[in-house]
This record gives sequence, C-alpha cells and structure tokens, in this order.
Amino acid sequence: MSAPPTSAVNATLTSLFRRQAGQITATLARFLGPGRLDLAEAAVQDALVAAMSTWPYQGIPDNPAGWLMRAARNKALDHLRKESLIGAREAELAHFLEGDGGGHPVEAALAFDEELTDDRLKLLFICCHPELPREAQVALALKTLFGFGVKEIAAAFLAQETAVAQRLVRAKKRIAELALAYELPAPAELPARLDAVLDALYLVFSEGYHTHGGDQLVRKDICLEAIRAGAALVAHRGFDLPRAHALMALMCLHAARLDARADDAGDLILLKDQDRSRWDQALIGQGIRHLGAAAAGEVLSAFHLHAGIAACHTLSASYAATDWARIVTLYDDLMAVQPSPVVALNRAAAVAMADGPRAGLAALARVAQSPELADYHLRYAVEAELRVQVGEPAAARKLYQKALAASPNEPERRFIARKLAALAPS
Amino acid sequence: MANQYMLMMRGSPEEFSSMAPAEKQRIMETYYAYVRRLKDEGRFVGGSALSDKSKRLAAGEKGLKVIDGPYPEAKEALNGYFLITAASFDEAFEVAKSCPCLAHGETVEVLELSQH
Repeated sequence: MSAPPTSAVNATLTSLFRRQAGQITATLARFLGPGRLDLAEAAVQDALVAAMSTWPYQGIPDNPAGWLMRAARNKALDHLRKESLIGAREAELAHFLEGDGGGHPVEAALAFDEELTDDRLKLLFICCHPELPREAQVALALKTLFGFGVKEIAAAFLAQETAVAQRLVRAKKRIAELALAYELPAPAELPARLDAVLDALYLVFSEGYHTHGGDQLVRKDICLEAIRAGAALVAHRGFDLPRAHALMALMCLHAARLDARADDAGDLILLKDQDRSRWDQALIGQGIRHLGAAAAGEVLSAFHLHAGIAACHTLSASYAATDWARIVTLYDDLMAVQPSPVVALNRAAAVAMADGPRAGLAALARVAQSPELADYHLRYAVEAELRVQVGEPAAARKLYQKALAASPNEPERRFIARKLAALAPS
Repeated sequence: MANQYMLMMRGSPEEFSSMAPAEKQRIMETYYAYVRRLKDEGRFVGGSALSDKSKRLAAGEKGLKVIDGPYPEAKEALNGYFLITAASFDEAFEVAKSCPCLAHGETVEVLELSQH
C-alpha cells in the first residue's frame, strides 16, 4: 500500500462515504418505504462504487454529498425500472427520484437539515423496532445508518460474517412483513421505544471507543456520529428526556478524552498518563450541560451513573486529585441498577485506587470467576497491574500473557507486550 | 523526448460493492492520490475506470460477428487504464509499481505506444 493520501484529499471529505451512506439510505427509505431497505442500500452501494470509479479521474465534485445522493437516486430508479415497479402508486417516488426538470429536489432537500435529521431518526426507530431481535436492531442500525460493513459488525459482535449477514437479511424481511410506516413512534409508545434506540446508540459509540479488530485503538468518527445522532434525538420534541441527556453526557465526556487516549503512533495512553490539556473542553462543556438536563428526571438510569463517573474523571485537575471514593460509590449504585461482571471489574479497579491494591484484588476475587469475563483481556490486565503493585511479578506476568492472547486490537496488544517486557526477569 | 505509455489494470478485484462505505472511500482516495501524483509530475495524459459493459466485433464469413461481453476470460477483464508520459520504458515501469490497483489483487500491464 502506498502512504495514506490524506493531504491530497480535502479534509471535509473525511468519513464522507460513511456519513452519506447512512443519510442517503434514510432518505431513499422514506420514498421507497421501510420494506425496501435492501433496495435503498443497494442503490447507495452502487452510487459509492460509481464515485470510486469516476472521482479519481474527473476530480471530486463541488458538492460530493449531492452527487452521491443524485447517483443513488438514479440507481434506485434503474432498479425499480428493472422490476417494472413504476406505476401510478409510485408517482411521488418517481417525481422525487427523477427530479422535476427545473431544480434538483434532492439538492433542495439537502438544504433542509431538519428533514434529513428526521429521516435518520425515523430509520433509527425502525431499526430498533421491538419486533426485531435486539442484536439484529443494533446490527441493522450499524449497517444502514452508520456505514458499517458486515465484516466490521461481525468483529464488533464476535460473530461469523455469514451469521451477521443472515441476521440482517431476516431483519429486513421482518420489517417488510410488518409493513411499518416511515414515522416516529406515537407518544404513548415513546418510553419503551426510546430505550432500544438509546441502547443501540450506546453500542455504536462503544464500538468506536473500543474498536474490535484492526490496527486502530479508537475510531473517533464513529463516536462523533453516535453523538450527532444523539444530539438530533434530544433536539427533537418528545425525546428531550433525562435518560437521553444522560446518554449524551456520557458520550460527550468520554469522547472529550479520545485524542489524549492514543499517542502519535496510535498506542494506548492510560488515564493516569494522559495529557489533560488535550481533553476537548467544548465536548466536556457539552457533556456537563447534558448531565444537568439529565438530572431533571426522577429515575437514575445506568447512563446517569456512567456519565457521573465520566464527569468525576473529566472534572478532576489531575489523576492524583481524582475523587476515587465518589467513583466507588457511583459504581456501587451502578451495580444496583445494572449488575454485570464488567461493571464489577471497573468497580474493583476504582476500589484499588481508593483503598489500595489489596482491597482491589479482594473486590476482583468476587467477580474473577464469572464466565462473562472468562476471555476478557481487561480482566487479566487489571489484576496483573494490581499484582505488580503488591509485589507479585510472576503472577502478573502470567496474567499479562493471558491478556495479550485475548486482546482485540493491535494497539492494546502492543501496550500489554510493553508491560510484559518491563516485567521480564533480569 | 517523452514517450507515451499505457498502464492497463486487469484482474478480478475484490468485490467493491460488499465493502463498507469507509473502505470504499479509502480505496477511492488511493486512486485519487495516484492521479494527483501523475498530474503533479506532468505525466498524466488520460485514464479511466472501465465498466463491464462491452461488445466485441469480428469479421466473420457472413459479415460482422458480434460477441457480447463479459467474456469467458473475465478474470482477465480490463478494469481501467492510465495513459502517461515517461522518459523511458523503465521510468514508466517504476510509475506502474505504485499503481493502487496492485493493492487489491489486480495486475498492471505496461505498454509503450509506438513512436513515429
């Protein structure tokens, strides 16, 4: 491979394909109906391939987003013509797809951000429909709205590509069977429907934050896309709810630290070693504002507690000054709302900071045998670090070796390998 | 005196349509950068990706014979070309070595155009 040609390409084009794929799929789905998600997706893929084979030679168009939208519209029209589906009922669709001769309705539509945002929100709710299995909801949202490939989704879920592909096909078929309208849920359905969407956004964000597979530690563009979708959600009347704000707070506060989390070589930098001046103050401010809005509710969701923990870290002047006792309390609350081995593991790490490594190891001993943590690299890495602190390097070495074997991405493997090298018997 | 050379990209590349959008963009950018480089060096004459729409004409005993593509030897299909200038065949060959198509399973054939 030649060197990445980042300098050759306008910075605004970064993640253009990923973002536009979701946007155009959502807009086409409005006209084609949710039952034809497959057609919308195929048209978008065709448009991107058309861009691949013309832009390098003819130059990148002045309005690349509009170009892609127009190309996808034409591809969708081609598909429909082949299916002979253009009848009277499709008049409106054809009108949109063909343009009205004068202006380009697609470009006119592009001017109305709000309408586009609405399209994406509606598709997000369709992807997260309660009739679909949960793992299918997230997979479908990742694929249609966030520009993930089947391979990436399979890596995120530790699943086979063929299984993910089948899951997506079945989900799209089910959506067609349900004959869903392309609209947001009715107010009465909102609370139940909102939770699935928030969970999906959180998983999208997490996939950006802890990237599975590949050589990247984080994929900030994915985190920012999840935040953008969340911002559209809370800006919408009816979704301006405390737990939606809590999720936004959590995502903003975590994203604020992303740039400081890896060095120039893409290697992991631990919280305690991070240059806090590199934390994004705008995102921190946004996160704190959302945390304020989240406090309006009576229910303390897991998102509230996660956001509270993130706020403790981001508002602390230094690692040493961190209020670990408060973080342990928040983890205790979180264990009550969302008991899970991973939460317990994080709690144990906080206990070690608040009360010393032996207290941390004791807390860890209570969760270490959980089957969910059986092959979780951070479980080994946390214990290894504590074993080093209590003067048991041989035990630490064994644990780091297990962590190395289970680690999902290259930068984390390099990080653990360095830890191991530092422990090498002299 | 610079000669002109044809770089022909052949093969059965990975299936672009099933790639994630970001992956498509990354590949598109490698071609974009290559074309930019050829232009910056003043050696770009022309080039294009080629679609698979093709027909072949041949003179038969009863007149022209038309064969519709794609052909049985599709794995050697011509997917695109560059027309460049270079001082020598060796220089053109060096330029061809960084053709982005090589990164995803295609071959590049370098041909020198006849000079008069």
